[in-house]
Amino acid sequence: MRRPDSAFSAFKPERVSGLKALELMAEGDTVIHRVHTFVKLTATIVYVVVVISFGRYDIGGLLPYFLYPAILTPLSDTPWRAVWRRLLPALPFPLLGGVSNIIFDKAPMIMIGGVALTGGVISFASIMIKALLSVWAVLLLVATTGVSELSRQLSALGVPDAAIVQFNLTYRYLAVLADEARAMYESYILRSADIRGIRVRDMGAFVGTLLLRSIDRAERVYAAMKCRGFSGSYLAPAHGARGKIGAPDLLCLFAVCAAIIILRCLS
Amino acid sequence: MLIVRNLCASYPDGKAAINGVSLTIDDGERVALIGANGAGKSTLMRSIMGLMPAMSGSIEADGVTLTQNTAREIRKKVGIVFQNPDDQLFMTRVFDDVAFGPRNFGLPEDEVKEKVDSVLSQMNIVHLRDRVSDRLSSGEKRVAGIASVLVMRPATLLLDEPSSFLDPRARRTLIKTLLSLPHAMLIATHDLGFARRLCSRVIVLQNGQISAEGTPDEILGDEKKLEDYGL
Repeated sequence: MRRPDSAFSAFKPERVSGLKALELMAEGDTVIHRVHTFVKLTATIVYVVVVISFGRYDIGGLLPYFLYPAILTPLSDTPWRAVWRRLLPALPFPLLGGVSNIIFDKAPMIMIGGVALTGGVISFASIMIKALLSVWAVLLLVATTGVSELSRQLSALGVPDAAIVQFNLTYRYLAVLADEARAMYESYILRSADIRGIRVRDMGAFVGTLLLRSIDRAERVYAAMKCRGFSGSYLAPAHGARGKIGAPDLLCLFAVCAAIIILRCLS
Repeated sequence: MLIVRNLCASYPDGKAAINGVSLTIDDGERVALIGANGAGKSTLMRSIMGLMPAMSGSIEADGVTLTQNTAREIRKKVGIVFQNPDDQLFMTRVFDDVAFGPRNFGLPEDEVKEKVDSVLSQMNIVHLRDRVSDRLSSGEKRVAGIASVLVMRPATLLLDEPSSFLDPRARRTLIKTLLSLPHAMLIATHDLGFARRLCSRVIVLQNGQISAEGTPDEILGDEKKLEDYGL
């Protein structure tokens, strides 16, 4: 049997799809779902900023930060598989960005079992860990809050409507992109016996066509929105929208942010 | 009443798409718009909705003439159901999709709920209210798409290839549903049987111009003529 000749053989667009499933998860009723949106949003922003703030060789300092998403995932009843499937599509971007570090930064930094690890390898690993942790935290935020409620909270925080609509449309566009990618991938794979994934040589044409098709589709969706009165701002009432923030919420926010920041100071 | 007078419109590349089309659709009248691919059916509908700027001519719905300033007003009076229901249903659940229009026009949430429930009941799809839009069948998506337009209480409906993607049963159900609606309709379709069942008048569009108009028997009964129209 012929082996696949693709470095991207693991790329399967259906893994990107199901973004709407995240919104459905947001209708859950766990302790994390019940936390006020402001708390979740602020904690996630603080977490991502702190994770990104680590130096490029500081892998050890990042490791304790796995605790935050690793605790929230089971507490929010978010399936590990669902998180993993949505994390994967985000990883090629830091991978492509970070791989140049390995090429250009060849100075040995540490020895492990007689093998010298270069600065490039360490900084590459650091970029990957930061990306993984940040995307994981944001996915959990969406999966426990929902895009509509997040938009509502951003609006309450004074974020301009234009930025919120941009956020909403980008999110919807990702779903359109995933739909088109799935349809194209199925069509491709049905005519490519013995191939798993997309061949490197077909990748350029695939991505280019995908972009054109998804832009076309996005324009049709936008036309349908305009025909139903959309004029640049839309805030749907969110599932389980919360009212005023209470003292327990603020206490929770303080505790989480303090833990995140203290860990950073200690490292 | 929808009145189109001497409408001319072109594609973004400058090629003429609609060339001097005039038509009137009376209240409650159902008119079929037929023509070969590329004849300009979808473009005409997009122009009526103000999605494509007209080069000349005018469009009037219930006394309101379409301009850049009145486009939103026109879209309250005329609703369009697009060919692909997946373009029309973009929210997570059917309820939110149907509520999208009323919410955009700033109705209070109680009124939105009342209107949505009323239209879902009218279309016999109350059971789809909380279903995920992606997971509906083609027929269900089509009816949900129509509901998302009807909820805005337009006087006129534009339907672009409404019977595409439907199996025979869903097609029959759709015909029954459309027959039960009192709205004026302009139905662009390749499905001549569908046009015959629903419409009292047929307009043939060819190369962006109206080349024939008459009753279904007059237009659809003559195979030779249909061949000449590219059908």
